[in-house]
Amino acid sequence: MTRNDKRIFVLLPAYREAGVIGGIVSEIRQRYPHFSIVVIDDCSYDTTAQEAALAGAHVLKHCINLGQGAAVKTGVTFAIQNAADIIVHMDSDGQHVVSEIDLLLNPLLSGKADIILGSRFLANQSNVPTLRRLVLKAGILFTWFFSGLRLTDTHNGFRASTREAAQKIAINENRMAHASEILHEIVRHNLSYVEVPVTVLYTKYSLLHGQKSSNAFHIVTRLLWRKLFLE
Amino acid sequence: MVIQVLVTAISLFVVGKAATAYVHKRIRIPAFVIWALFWVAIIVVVWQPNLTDRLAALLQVGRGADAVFYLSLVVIFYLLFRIYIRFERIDSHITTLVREIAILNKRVDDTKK
Repeated sequence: MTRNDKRIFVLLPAYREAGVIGGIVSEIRQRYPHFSIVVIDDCSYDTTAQEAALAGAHVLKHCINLGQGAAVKTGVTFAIQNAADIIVHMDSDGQHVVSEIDLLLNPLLSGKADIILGSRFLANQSNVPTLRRLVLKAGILFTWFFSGLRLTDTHNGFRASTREAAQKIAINENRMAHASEILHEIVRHNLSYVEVPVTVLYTKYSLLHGQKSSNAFHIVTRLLWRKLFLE
Repeated sequence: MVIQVLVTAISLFVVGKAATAYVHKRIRIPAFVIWALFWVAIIVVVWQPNLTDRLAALLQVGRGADAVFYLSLVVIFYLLFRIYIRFERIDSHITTLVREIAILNKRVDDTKK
């Protein structure tokens, strides 16, 4: 089965990414012209939605800011409703390298696994700042302890899954804890997964704009709360 | 004397509010009765504090006021927990609505084209 036979959707959850999002959408369109690109604008008050639409993306707009998890879920629902075979998740702040979508797609298309997870630590091409590296390593241990998954990276938003896997994965965490939730769902549904090395670019823009290391505390408390009281 | 009058006035005000809510059908009769009984009990206890000594003896706590304090804490924490769970549910409902609206709007936009 080749990628031309598949309906491939690339999801870009975005919040205040004006000035960046248009370029990313254009690059994906240029490199992968038959892919459907979906930008989920999480109630940005800048021109994110307009720029994404101009560049040729399908744009879904949240009328209230809900968080990246909810945006991903909206994108997944839209992709499934539109008969997606493969769904790629990607950050919209330029941290991920567009050409590396191939690294996620190849093992998925050859049927190696249900979900392919990008890892910034499998090959050392990412310039991860020291504090972020420490927090991520702690996250890896936390994930191992709580879900039993022994990964080399967690909270990497660059991943791809089959339609069937996406339908099974329930995302209930609206904000950043959804990344851990996806890993727990992999275990819960016994989905097969493979990690592939990807690059995460830490630019001045992404460090200012992206997830803060201090969010880790919030993520851990959310996951514990959900496990204890909501599940 | 001042505290008794103050607590009685506040309690009566709250009972009045509950009665108005019931008249306007914002709450049902069981909720009104429980709420009214609770505030009437507060009025009774504030005028007859010795009554709480029996409660203290029952719970094997030294003073009546302490028994009321401990029980209040338990009730308040339980209510906080209930409110948090409720808040989570409302949050999840709002999320569902916002996500649905986003997808529906996209569908409407596409049909207009």
